[in-house]
Amino acid sequence: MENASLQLRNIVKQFPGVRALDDVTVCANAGQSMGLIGINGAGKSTLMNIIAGVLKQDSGEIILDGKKVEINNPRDAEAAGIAFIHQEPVVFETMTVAENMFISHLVSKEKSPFLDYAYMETEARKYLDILGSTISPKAKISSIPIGDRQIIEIARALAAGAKYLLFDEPTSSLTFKEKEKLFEVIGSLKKRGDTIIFISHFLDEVAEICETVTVLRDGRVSGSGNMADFSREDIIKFIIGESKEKEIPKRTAQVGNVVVKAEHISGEKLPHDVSFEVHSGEVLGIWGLMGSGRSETIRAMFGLDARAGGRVSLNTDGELKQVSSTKLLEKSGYVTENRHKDGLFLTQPLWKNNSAASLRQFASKALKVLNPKKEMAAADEMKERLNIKAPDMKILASQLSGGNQQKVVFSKWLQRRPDFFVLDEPTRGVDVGSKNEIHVKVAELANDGAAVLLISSEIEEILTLSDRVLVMNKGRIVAEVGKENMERQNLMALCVGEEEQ
Amino acid sequence: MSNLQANAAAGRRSSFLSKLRISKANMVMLVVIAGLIIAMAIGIKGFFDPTNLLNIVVQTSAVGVLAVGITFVLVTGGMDLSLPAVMAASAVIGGDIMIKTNNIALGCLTMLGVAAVFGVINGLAVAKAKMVPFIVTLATQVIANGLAVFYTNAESIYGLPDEFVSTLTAGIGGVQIAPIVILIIVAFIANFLLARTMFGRWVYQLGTNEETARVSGTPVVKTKFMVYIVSALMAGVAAILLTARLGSASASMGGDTMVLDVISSAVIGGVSIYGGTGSVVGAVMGALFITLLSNGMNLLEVSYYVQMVIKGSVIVALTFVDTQRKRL
Repeated sequence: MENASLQLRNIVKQFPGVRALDDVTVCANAGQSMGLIGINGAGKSTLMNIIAGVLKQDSGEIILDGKKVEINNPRDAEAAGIAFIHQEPVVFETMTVAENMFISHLVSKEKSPFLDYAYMETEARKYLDILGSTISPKAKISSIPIGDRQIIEIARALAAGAKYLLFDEPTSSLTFKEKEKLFEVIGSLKKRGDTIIFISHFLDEVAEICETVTVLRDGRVSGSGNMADFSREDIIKFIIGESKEKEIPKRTAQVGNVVVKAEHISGEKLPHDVSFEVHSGEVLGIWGLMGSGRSETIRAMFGLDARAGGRVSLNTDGELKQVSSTKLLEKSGYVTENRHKDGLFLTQPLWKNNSAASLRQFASKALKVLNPKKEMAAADEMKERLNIKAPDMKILASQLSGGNQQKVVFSKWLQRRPDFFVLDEPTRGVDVGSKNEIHVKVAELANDGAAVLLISSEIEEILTLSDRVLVMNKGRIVAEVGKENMERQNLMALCVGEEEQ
Repeated sequence: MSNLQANAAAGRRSSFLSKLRISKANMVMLVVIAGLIIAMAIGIKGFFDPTNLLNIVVQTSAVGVLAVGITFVLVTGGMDLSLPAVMAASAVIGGDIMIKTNNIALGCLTMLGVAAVFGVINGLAVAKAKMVPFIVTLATQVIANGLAVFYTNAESIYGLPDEFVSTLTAGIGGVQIAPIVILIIVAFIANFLLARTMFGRWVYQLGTNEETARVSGTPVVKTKFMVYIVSALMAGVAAILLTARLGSASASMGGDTMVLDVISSAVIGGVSIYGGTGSVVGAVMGALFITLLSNGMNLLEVSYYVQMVIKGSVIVALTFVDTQRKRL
């Protein structure tokens, strides 16, 4: 502990109504990676925000390489050599990759007020190459998908010369290959002598890449030490205390009639001629690499993006009839990929978020006058049902942790009681506990007779929940895999094979 | 049993307050206004006279109605710069028709109709053609103004039917009660619409996050279109009120600073330019505040141009305070 390169000692942070960090002491060593684990709300993000200068601790010290440092804002943190790689990539959409990478220390030409783009672009290329990325430094960020934006953020940290790198759930949006590359990079960073803190819910990854581990629970350190000294069960016990993980209910409902049929859906760029059917009581998984067009297919289906061709049919009153995309959206539940972008009303209270997609249920017949009391009661019910961790449903959505925010998005659609449920990366950026709860809910949905479409980049998730899986690549469905043939190797091979072709 | 009925059963007073939804922000505004009134009552001769005070409310009526209208647009995150100009255009055309046909109802309907046309133009441009509201309404402002000047040949329209003027300025003891009543009714209905109905919820959703609203099934285009109709109709109502009060209509009847006054009223009253927050009640109180300021300065015989400087400065200061409050 004494020769640890990064030490946080006796950190306390209080928010109105909750003690986020209660006398937390954490150490990380140079040339090593420390895994930081804990359910959302345990205090990980708060702790990382304090190191990164976004928040200031109420008491406690930060000691870097033996020297105490005062970090009052992100600039101080950067000056101290700290870099924070965020869960949701922080980028300027209209600027280029190189500009984003050098945004906090733009380089001018010698003795000139003009920026040296050539230098920045060359340097950007250098760091992107280290990360094995083919992104062009001149490309505008708006043209780059989420998975790649994370890489740019990591490159930015490297370019800024950081010695202490904090990774906040960095693998949530990465493809398999990108994940491997990331681990390679982290390996070389360790060789350089950098100190890595790796926050993740994926215990496998933490076990693979971290030498030491610290587990937070309810704002306190519940366990810490060398990774090698702990078993997986030990870690899980540190995380959730004594409560057990719930078993995912077995699929009990019979797979019934077709509820939704999509035919020859094509979008402006992606997808190309995608057709599928979803039956009641089944979970249809859609698996594919980033950029394969899964989310685009859904958006084209619902009319949220322009549709170049194809049609959708919905089972209305027992008969499969063609419907407009608006009508389909009206009758469905759609948990989007990015809750901050289009899943929540962050500045509105939870109860308003809950009823946002089903206002007609709470409106009077004639003048459509809303009944807030009824809305709040419904929200309270959902809070119980989904175990949403909040003091009440009157707080703003922005005040919740990621996992709980995702539950609120879920509750919004559950409120509608739809027959068709689409889930796009439903547990992205969500902790172990909430993830399990969400998986249980998905299985329950199917058992209750809903038709569920599940898009996921997490192989475990797809394998656990799906009855059958469609594999997509470059905007087309390339394979369909039934329950009997569903296996890790199978799905991976189908994707990777396609890529190599 | 709806919430309204339940509240009514609970007692008239609580029903009234909960209908108005007096929020914390509005309470602060009330206190500020009260403070200003007290300060002016002490410092300015002739201010704390019942006739003067009531006249302030009368003077607020036109700006107040427009502020009510613009609130809907601002809450969606939009902007409407055309309101005073649309009001003038509606007033001159409607007033002229009223005089020529000697038909008060027709004249009023024309005012509302002309305003509605501009509302449709703004609504289609912003909601359907996805144009930038600031630019669109700036253009309609110029068009409406040009239309008014052209129609009247830059002269005032006067000679309105006596019945029209007397009904809408009906009052007691030198104070016109009718405009006050109309403002209250309009504010009440609008507040109810925005705060308590599904449509109102849609308006707030749009201003908070349009993407989320779209995915949630909110009719984005329709709602955006409607708010510009609402604001334009308010301009029509303001045209009726102001024409009656002035006894005439002209292309410049609003005054040079009306656009600023209307938007400032809303902002001071807690309506955010960025959308998603604010209330009709707040906007009306903001309008009251601005009129109070003008009234006080008039009584102090401050020159018109100095008034404009002072008014602008006060608005900047209050908006600054409001921004700081939101950051905390």
